Amino acid sequence: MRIETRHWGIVEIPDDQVIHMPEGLLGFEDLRRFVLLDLEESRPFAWLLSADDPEISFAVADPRHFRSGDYPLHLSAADEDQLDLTAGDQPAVLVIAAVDASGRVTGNLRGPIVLNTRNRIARQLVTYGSSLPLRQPILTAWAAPEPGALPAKSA
Amino acid sequence: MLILTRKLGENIRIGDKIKVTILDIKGGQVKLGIDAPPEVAVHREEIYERIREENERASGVTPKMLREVAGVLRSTKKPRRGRVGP
Repeated sequence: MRIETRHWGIVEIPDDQVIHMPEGLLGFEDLRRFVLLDLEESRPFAWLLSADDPEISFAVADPRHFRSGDYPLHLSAADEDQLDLTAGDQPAVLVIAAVDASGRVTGNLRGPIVLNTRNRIARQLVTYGSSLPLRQPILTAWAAPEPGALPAKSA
Repeated sequence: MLILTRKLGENIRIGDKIKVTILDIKGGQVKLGIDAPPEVAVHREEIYERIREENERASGVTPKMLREVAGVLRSTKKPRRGRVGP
């Protein structure tokens, strides 16, 4: 799949790497296909880029950057069903990052994305009855490389 | 939108499997009981609304914004390598 993006030029992603979100993301229900751009200069973030509307992308990261210890993943029968999770599948959890008014990076632990890496089906969970925050400030001593220190991925 | 009037203790049915009961009405609040099969997620609208708003905010994050935030941190802290899998 070839996607023309605003920030990363033309991105080529093998079709088997496309992530399918049958319900999209809340507020973006029409966007069903995404790709994950893991670029050196953005780590520890990767970009979840909509293949349906390349203007839309989300910075995502492993939950450990926002929370020490494992993410308490509770999947409902409906979640497991939609992700087609079977015994042995190890779903990956991605937290969507935002930048708050004071310039802090925060992660939405309340509505994480769960990805079944076997079939590339993903779903945004709505964690209910938990105290997981919507805006958890980043924990890790994180800094991106200097701009220009790495060659741009694409023109 | 379908609008129904119900009294205390009365129900509405949504399909064969979902039943909503008016359990209590006090002041400006209505307490609802919801019987639904486990595959149906039932949440307060606000939770969806807040996640929807947060997604919209997050969709405005650009590589430039992350670099700028990183620049603030870089002055005091050493970069740490992390990976988003897979």
